[in-house]
Amino acid sequence: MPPTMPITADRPYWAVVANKPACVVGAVKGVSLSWTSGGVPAGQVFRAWVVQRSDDTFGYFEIARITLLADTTFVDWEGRRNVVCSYRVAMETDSGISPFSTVRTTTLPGCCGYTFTSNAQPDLNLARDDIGDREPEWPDDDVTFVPLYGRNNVVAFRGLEDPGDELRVKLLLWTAASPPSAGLGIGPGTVAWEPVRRIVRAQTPYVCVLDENGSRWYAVVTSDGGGSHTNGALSWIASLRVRQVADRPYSVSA
Amino acid sequence: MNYNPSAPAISGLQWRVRTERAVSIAPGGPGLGIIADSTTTQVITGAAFNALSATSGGRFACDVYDITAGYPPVSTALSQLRIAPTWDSWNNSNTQSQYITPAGPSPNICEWPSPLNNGTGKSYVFLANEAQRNELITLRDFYNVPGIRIPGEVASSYKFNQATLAGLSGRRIEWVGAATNVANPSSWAFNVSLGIQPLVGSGTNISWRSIGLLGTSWWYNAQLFEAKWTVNPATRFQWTLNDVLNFAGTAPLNNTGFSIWVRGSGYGGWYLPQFFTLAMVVAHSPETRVATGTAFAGPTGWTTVPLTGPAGSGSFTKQAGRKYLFVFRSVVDPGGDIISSMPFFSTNVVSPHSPQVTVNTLDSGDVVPVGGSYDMPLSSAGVPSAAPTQYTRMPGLALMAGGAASVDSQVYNDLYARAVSTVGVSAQQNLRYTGSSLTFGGVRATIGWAGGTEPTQVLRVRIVNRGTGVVYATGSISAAEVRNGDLRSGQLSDVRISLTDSTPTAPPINTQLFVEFFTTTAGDTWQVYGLSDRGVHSAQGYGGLTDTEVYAGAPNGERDLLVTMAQRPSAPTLAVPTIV
Repeated sequence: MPPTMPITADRPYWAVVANKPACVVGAVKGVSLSWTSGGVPAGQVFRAWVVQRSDDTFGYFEIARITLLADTTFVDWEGRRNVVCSYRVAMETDSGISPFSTVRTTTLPGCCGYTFTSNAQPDLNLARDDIGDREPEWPDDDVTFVPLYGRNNVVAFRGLEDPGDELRVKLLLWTAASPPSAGLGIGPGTVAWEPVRRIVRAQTPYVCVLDENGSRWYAVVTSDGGGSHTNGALSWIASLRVRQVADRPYSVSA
Repeated sequence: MNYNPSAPAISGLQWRVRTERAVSIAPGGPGLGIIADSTTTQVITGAAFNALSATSGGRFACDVYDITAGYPPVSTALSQLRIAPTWDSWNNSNTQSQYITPAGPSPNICEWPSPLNNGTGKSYVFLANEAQRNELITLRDFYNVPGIRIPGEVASSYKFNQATLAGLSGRRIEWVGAATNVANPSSWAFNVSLGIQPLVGSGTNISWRSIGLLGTSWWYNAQLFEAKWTVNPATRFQWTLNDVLNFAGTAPLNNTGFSIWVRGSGYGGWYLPQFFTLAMVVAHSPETRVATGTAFAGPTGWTTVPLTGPAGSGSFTKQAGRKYLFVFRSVVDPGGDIISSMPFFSTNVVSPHSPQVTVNTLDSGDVVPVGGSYDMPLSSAGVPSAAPTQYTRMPGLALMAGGAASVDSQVYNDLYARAVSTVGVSAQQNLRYTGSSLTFGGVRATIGWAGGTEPTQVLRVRIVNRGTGVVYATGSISAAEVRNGDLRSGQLSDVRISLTDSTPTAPPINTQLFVEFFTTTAGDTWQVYGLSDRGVHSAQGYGGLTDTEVYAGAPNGERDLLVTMAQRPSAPTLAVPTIV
């Protein structure tokens, strides 16, 4: 959570976060799914397990397509936090798709300010508190104002597409109470930024960014750099930009 | 395509030509190119247009303005941009011609697809010009699109010829025609507005468009123009002049008929019609005429076309799942100077485009977009006061908002995909769909079965978003719906599948939809031939075999789909999830 103590010139954030609780190094939670087959009809060829999730108002989206009949488990890391997530599974054969299984639900707890994860690359998982105010932006799409003859005012021509959200996140990566060595087995230094650098450089369809309030962005994360501060207490803070790039999940093939 | 270098020059004007399509068009490159820029002469060289000749579906717009005075240009001169295929001469039916009217509203955009008139492209040209003089125009087909047949009954200068175009989908009214001033090629203008009003809503939601435009002094052939409406989106119907009105949903749209509002306008008194008659035929597709009506407009313009049902009831009731054809034949009688000038609410309207697609051969899995259009929501009285009054497609831009009005620029890019696979009790056919709304009027199929057993139960159909599981429409086929078939022969022919649009909410863009057939008896074996997505179509696209049949989708119209229904796999059992 953002610090409750205001950050002012005489109360810099490193002083605020000096005694941050342990959740500064949060653990990313996922939903583990498993199922049993209803059997492949005679004469048909198994193609895939189709795993779908619904945790918003847009219905079910495929999140995984598993092509091994014997592989009947999947861990979903991208479910919204503190929101009921519904899951269902179906079998696809060369002749069609089965009815979906009974829907199962669960709720992932929110851990920290922001969670960075990816079903395509779960080892990117990172959950940290953020500091400072949250000020999401909505980038303007191109709007062209055209005066038209015989018509008062102007007409606005807009693009059809949603440009997506953009967030600026100041991520509290480590503190003296939770130093890098606790997470990386190393001491302070540039390697301390490695979790963030991996996210920024992730070659995944997107990085799933979640907050504890249930928001989610399929995003590309870029970095404005970071800073380590020793004034008052040691802390490592990364400045990230989160730009929404997709509106539906990527279906992982396995 | 070449631009005619002999087009008259206009002093003090600058021409710009641009394309809206991501094709490489020299020298501007994809999307935008200014190919001519001059302060002294306005002849556009043909180079950029030549570059279009190898492409399909390209479109470019010409925008003219006075570089010294801006919009509107101070000049009242009228100029023309012409395009013709290089293999043909000027002044014939293959010539595309467009006026650029400096005095007209801006942006004065004219658009052509490319290639023009080659059997795959289609033209949209919007003419936005104030009438200068009056003259009759004749509507005629200007397309050579497979599946579109135009009677070609250009009988006199006082007739609007019937132009039959392929269908559309959803709440859109579309009219496309070509105008030829056959009475007096040297005179100019004739403006007619057509409107449509569903009586639901107590006289509101009238919408109308100007469809009349210019003749020319040196050009005898057709201009293309179009007008599109969206009436009240809530009514969810569409109207294409001389085309199909496709009703979606099951609720009666109107029990008392439609009013067709007609008015004409013009200047002066040359060759003006005394009145004109607009005849409307409403018919079930494809065979049954259910209502007819006529109207004429006097000098003051508006009139109503009452419909007369088969029994003289003056009304008809829309039937669920039916498609209706509105055929308009407008006959203008010669006479005095009585069509007065009147303002058009929108003099600079619409030239939305449909994606142009060339698919010569189809393989399994091919997805064939058949066109698209944009909705334009209108408010009451036909004047979209709060809603957009006009819009046009601009590079990178797609829709228009007038003030704070809601913007409804839905893109209907329906398509038809060839199909798919053998599937189980659930047989699926891809209907890839990239619009933001979709209305299903029906699906047509010819159904047979194997094994010598007659189907004893209804074959149900639904259109489902396979990704999300959302069902958008459901329907069924029963023996009662057999029109031409013989049950005992093992084949149901031309079965109508009535689909009910169960979800008014538009599916999201790029949703992939499936037509899914299923029975309640596992193991049934069905064969579905000739599945077409009639009623799931848009714009002109391909299809429209006759004036009563519209098959969106493939250039060749309906295609066959063979689906053998096998047993559907059983659902797996999902355990209670755990948090890890």
